[in-house]
Amino acid sequence: MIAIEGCKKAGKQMDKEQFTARILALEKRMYHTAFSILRDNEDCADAMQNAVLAAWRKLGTLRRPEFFDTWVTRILINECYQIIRGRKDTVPYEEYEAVCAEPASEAYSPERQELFDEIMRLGEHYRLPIVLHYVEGYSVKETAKMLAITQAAVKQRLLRARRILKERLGGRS
Amino acid sequence: MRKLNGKDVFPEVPAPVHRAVLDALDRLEDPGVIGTEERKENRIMLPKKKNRYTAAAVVGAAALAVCSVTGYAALKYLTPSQAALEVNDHKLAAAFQREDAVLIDESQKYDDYIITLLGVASGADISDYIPSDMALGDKAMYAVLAMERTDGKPMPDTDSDEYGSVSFFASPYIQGLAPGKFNIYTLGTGYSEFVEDGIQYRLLQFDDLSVFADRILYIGVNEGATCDVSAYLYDETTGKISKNPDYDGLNALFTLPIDASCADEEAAQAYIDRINAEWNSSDSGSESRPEMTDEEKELDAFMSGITGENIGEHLERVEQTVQTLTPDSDGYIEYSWHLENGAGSENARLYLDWLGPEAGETIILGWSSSGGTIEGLCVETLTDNGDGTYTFAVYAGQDGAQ
Repeated sequence: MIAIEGCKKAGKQMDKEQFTARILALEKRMYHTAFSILRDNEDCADAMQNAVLAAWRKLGTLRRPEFFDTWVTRILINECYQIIRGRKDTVPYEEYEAVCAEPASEAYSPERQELFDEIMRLGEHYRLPIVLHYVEGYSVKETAKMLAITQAAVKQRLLRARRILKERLGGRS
Repeated sequence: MRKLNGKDVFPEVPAPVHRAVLDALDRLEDPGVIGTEERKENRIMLPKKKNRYTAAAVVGAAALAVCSVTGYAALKYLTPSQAALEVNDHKLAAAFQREDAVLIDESQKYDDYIITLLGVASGADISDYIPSDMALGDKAMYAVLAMERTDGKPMPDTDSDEYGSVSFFASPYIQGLAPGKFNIYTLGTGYSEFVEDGIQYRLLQFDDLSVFADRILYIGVNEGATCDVSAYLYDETTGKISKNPDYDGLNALFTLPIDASCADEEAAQAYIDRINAEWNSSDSGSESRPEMTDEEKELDAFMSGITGENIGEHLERVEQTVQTLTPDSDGYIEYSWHLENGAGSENARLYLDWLGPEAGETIILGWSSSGGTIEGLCVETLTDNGDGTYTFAVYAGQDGAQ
């Protein structure tokens, strides 16, 4: 059913030190991805911790090392959804807004703060593709793989999200 | 398009999160971690490609009658529950194992394909993938379809370049509601898809339609990316939908067993009204507006076929609006235009990183029509010239171009 055999090589080629280095290099992108789903730092910490351990356990299934980033991100997304499923309620918007405002308030220009706020107001359906593609710079193809959707679906969501953002941000122009 | 670094918009990694990551990295060789790997390895599943349309919300409660649970084409196909696991949807897999799930196993053969409806499940919170921004809660209905070739050749795997070369449009339909309008695009939230052993499986997610239980509910499959209304006959008197016998191609049509006692005429009408409102709403989908006139419908249809690539074939570029723009240090461009004939004007500031085109691409920024007609159209476009500059231009219909 799953091409386990064909996946062994890449994982075996990466030792603990290499794995650690790759994870640390990816940490910020992982955090942004997790935050865009969970909108809560404590949950992000849990999700990232779980994802790192899961990725290490599943390393043997990684088909090709160049897909490491997208592969780990996909695992992280699954961990995030696991946490969401365990929640009784989703994080209220006010709660995550307070979380977001603190780190951003000093360094951010008002425009970027506003952009960040508007991104986080997007439904997750649009928010995650936006973050993965535009914030983290993953290609449409990579984003599609991470979200397990088609490239056409990614483009569709990006287009629609852009329109929503344009509409909301354009109001002040 | 210039990409933002994460640090530009998103917060840095907070210390507690970083500590959690370091802690995990320290534990990589803990016996528990390694032991887990060995136990789990045989059932690791990689997610396959999935696709979800943007869509309407989900409503209603489970209302399907229980049918035969035997068969499954001599165990040829995955069960709906197994199919759900293939796309990592554990909730849905569990839902298909509940007593109220409907396991159908009905095949229809066409020249090139065999289409099989494997089962249907519905209810609240039955999927891991119901979009969180759905307006009407977390209830949904799922149908699982299997599609295979009659010549025995495998369907293209979702990872292959051939995937998508043949597309299927699978959709729920409702007696009394025209298929061209009431289909997966308006009733659904999308689908997941994967190929296993040469068989293509599709998990359709759509609104829980049990409020329509006093009508016939259908699942149709036609070849192509959109609903081909010519594949089916819609009897406007009875509202019944049937296969068009003269249709040259795939037009599978299944009926769903529904417990008629679950019909809710009032809720059904409210649902129809909502879809009508969405159908007539602006592209952003945020607000409804009155029923469109024929001219507006024509305009809408016209614009739906306009892209940055083909706009020059349909509308005339207004040279006086053409501007070469360079983003400011914050990544914004500003543009303004005004047509002397009063057909339109605009003065806007645009954040390129998010709203601009890719390098070499032309996008449509927006459009308006002074008279609600194609002739009165003014369409804003922006092209990334690939050298750090952008070209803004308005394309207009006959009235605007004069």
